[in-house]
Amino acid sequence: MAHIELSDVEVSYPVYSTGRQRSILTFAAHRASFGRVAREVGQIPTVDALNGISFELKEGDRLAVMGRNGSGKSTLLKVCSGLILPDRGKVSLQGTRASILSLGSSLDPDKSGVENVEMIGQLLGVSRKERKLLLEDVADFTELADFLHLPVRTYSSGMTVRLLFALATSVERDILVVDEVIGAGDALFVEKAAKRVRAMFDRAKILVLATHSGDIAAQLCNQALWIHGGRPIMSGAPAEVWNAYIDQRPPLEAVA
Amino acid sequence: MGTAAIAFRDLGGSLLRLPLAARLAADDIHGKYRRTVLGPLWISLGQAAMIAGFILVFSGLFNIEPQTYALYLAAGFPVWGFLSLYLADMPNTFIVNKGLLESYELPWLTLIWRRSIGYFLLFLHHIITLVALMAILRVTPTIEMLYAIPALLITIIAGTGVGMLLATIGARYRDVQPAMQMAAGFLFMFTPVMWRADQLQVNTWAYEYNPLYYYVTLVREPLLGRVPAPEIWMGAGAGAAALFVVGFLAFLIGRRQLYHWL
Repeated sequence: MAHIELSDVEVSYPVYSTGRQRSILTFAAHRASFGRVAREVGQIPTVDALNGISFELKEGDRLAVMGRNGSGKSTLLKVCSGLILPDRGKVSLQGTRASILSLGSSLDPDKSGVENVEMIGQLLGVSRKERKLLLEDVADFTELADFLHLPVRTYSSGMTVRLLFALATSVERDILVVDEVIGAGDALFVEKAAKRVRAMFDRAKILVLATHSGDIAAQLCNQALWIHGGRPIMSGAPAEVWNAYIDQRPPLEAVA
Repeated sequence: MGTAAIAFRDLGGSLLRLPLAARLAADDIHGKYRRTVLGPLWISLGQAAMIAGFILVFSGLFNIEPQTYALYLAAGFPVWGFLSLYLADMPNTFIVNKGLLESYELPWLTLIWRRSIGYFLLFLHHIITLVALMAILRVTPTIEMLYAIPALLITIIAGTGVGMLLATIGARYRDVQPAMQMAAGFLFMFTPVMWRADQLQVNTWAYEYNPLYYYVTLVREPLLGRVPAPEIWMGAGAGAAALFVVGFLAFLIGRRQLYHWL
């Protein structure tokens, strides 16, 4: 049973701008001198990334998250992935999840595609027999052919996305969280990805997708949320929210 | 769900996935030596060369019989290497595995167990030198050597506690890893690995108050066919329980901020 519920979620995070703020030796000096040494260590600025976000997603819900750069989309996705715990408010996540949040970061660049599939297969608890099928499935979807035997660091960004996307969608997970990286694939790939995600959703799962494309939102999702400055502005059908977002209606000054 | 509940669920999940952590650890070692002809045997060879060098110089210096000294070193060095990895390697565990955590639902502590078991596997490679040396010197293995098994278990629990603590602090403060690497090199001097505790007549506090002394002795003694003294078992056992609790508490308290630190 897959279910995501956020009620009045608030997240702020520290921003470390100097190396000294990340040094335990400086921190010790700061403490030992009662704050006279390394003053900036005691004043680490925080960013309010999310404020008053509430929604509920049930099986079959596919949510597109829209907003300008820095509006809090990625933070929201990380909350939905269980990585970030909210400072205030409640998050309840039920169901297994897979996330594509950054390019290639879960792949070992020195290992070949095949070896990476093998490792991630183990990680996902796929049996030895099924891992063979997994590899066939990944090879079939990514069309990487012989590249699968080369180290991942030799891949182009589009190829990496294809491999990541294939892996994240290869094993049945209840919740799939995707940041806009999907845009790095070529047009043919986007279509293929859309087909694959739709196939996944025939088995009733949850998708949370951050996107800068109205087309992708309309193709893949059945509801949308527009956030700005970490606050919800509008939610509704993807096309409707996208048009409002593009026209900036309601005007943001009125809400903020 | 509160942070404590999330941390406990993480711990429970990581214990259930210990076989996974072991497979990943084996995979790590395999990957590391994949492009070499001898594979992980390189580790044992390097170890043997180092011990040979030490015997040439130090058996004369300390005036010990070379054979006894060789066995002492071949047992002590792997144990020291095993312990020092917990200090020098654990702090960056969460940092370097950020991508994995972002992509797959995985208990965070599985990453700690994976390293912990990896260190143990490296230790097993290092101990080959001792086995070879015993064969050459015709030392017959004794039943007392089996005490090494509980000794290693206690050490792994203590080390995993240290690992949880250092990986959490190490995510927040990026100089923990280099600081611990330096500390490990420093502590090597104070721990009876090259020298024997009974040789030290003055400044005996150097090892008496050094926790690493108890763990080195705990594992090394059985490897040399002796049973560690009861106070060593008690000290190391109680220490392991305390370290595990402290390490887990650090993770529990740090978990809310941990992702922001990465």
